[in-house]
Formats: sequence, C-alpha cells, structure tokens
Amino acid sequence: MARFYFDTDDGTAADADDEGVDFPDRESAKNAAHAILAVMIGEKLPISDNIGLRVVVRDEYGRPFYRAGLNLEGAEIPQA
Amino acid sequence: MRSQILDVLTRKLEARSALSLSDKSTLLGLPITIRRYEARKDIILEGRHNNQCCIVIDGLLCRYKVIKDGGRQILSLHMPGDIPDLQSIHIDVMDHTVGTISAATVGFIPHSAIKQALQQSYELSRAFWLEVLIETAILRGWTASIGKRSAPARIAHFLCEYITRMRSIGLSDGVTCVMPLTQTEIGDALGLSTVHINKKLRELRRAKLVEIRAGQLRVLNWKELSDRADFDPNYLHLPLLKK
Repeated sequence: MARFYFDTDDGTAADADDEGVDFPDRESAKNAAHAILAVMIGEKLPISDNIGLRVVVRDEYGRPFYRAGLNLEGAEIPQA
Repeated sequence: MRSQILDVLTRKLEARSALSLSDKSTLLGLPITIRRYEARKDIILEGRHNNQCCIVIDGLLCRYKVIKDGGRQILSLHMPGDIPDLQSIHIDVMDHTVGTISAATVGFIPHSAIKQALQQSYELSRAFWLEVLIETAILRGWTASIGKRSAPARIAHFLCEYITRMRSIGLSDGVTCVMPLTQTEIGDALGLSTVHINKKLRELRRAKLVEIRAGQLRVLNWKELSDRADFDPNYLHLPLLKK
C-alpha cells in the first residue's frame, strides 16, 4: 500500500488533499480519481448545466503523476 | 464479575422498560461465556447456524454483507449493551456476518437460556422485542439516509447518530468520543468511496464542525453539524434524550 493525494477543483472550489488515502498501486489510485469525478458531478447536479471538474493525483512523495477531467456542457437548442 | 458483565445489558434494557427485581436477577443470572476479539475479526459468519446470542461488553461491532463485485456494505454498528444477533433466536441461519470494528469483549448467551428467561416474564420478553424494533428503526434511518441524503449530509448524519448513541450509553459527553472506524469503514457504512469520505471529512474539519483525529471524534459545532445533517434523533427512541 502507498499513500496517494487527490487534489480536486470543481470550478468554484479547489480542495488540496493534505491527508491522502492508501491504495495498493497507481492503477487503483487512477480508478479512484475517475470515481471521485463521477461522484463530484453528481453533487453539482442538477443546479448547473455547465460543469468542469479536475483532479490531480499525487504519489506518496507529493509528485503529481496523473490528471483527469470531466465536463458537462448543456445548451438549449434554438427553435426555428 | 459475571453480574458486572451482564449489568451492561440490564442497564440498557432498564432505560426503556420497567423491569422487576426478579427480571433483573434473571438477566444477571444468565449463563455467559466471555471472549475477547481483536479489531476487524469476524464473530459469526453469514450462512452459519447459531445456538447462542452475542452481547457487546465493550468495543464496537458491526453487521455487514459482502456484495459480489461491489465490496462490503456495513449494515449497522453495535455498541456496549447491544445484542447484534438477537434475531438468531428465531431465525436459524445468519443472513449477514457480525464482526468487530475495534478490539472488543463479547459475551455469548445460549439461546435456550434466553428463551427460558423470556418465557418466564412478559416484561423481559417485551424489553427484548423493543430492542429488535428499535434496531429496525435505526436501519430505516440508514436506508433513508443512504437512499436520499447528499454525501455531505449523509456523513454529517452518521456522525450525529454515532455520538448521540454513544452519549446515550454513557460513553460520550456529547462533544468527544472514541471513533475506531477508518475512513474506508465509514465509506462502507454509507455507500461512499474512501476518497470521497476523506474529502468530505476535510470539508467538515475546515468548516470547524467536527474533526476525527487519532481515533477520537470531536464535535466543534453541533448546531451547524446537525443542521447540515437534518438530524432528528426521534428514530433512535432514546429515553435519556427525550425533551
């Protein structure tokens, strides 16, 4: 197990992870990064139709090694 | 020694039910075997048949189920005085597992002895039935929370419930208490990932509502925490906290 840190930004608030969570390897930490984006977008709904979420994963030494983003872009279709 | 151990059960039942002297002496005279468990050990496995009930003497227990490809769901937490497998008196095969969260002392009472005690006294029978009813009320509270509360409110609600229950059995002053659950275990109870719990607990700490440090839970702002949780302890049916 190693410690990984997940810094997130939901467009209105950034959260720098100063505690971290243990995972067996980088692959599991990457999966966890995707999962947290999915959860964060759920928390933003239904109040917004324009959401940009970012996560950066850092290793046990605090070095960033992975980033991921998730965007939701909604728009009304103009009626003829 | 044995009567001290069963005292934890007697006091708990007595808080909600009027027990006669004879009821109390029946309870204190129940045969009990004491075992000590380390943290995170299974006590009774799903699928097993049981001929005794376990009562929490000290420490924290949980009931859980493992979902294929889905991990573990913690179904309930059990504190001193609780009998997490009371249903096993009438239901033959365990449909979930009971295990420890922290190191714990657990007493085992044979079903035959409990059945005999319940046959002797309507009040005792009622008191045990009430325990089961309240446990299912708490389970309804969890279902509603997991199904409908947002993650931040769900976590706040969980912490409010935990410290309220600990307070009701004299293990907290309402401000601090032991919190042996890891962030992963809190996630397993609430259907949330560890990273998510980690982030939300940090938010609660930075907002100066509550902090968990070195196995201790400390509530810094009960009003705001319970407001965010929309916490109403009615479903806990706690006699000591009635207004």
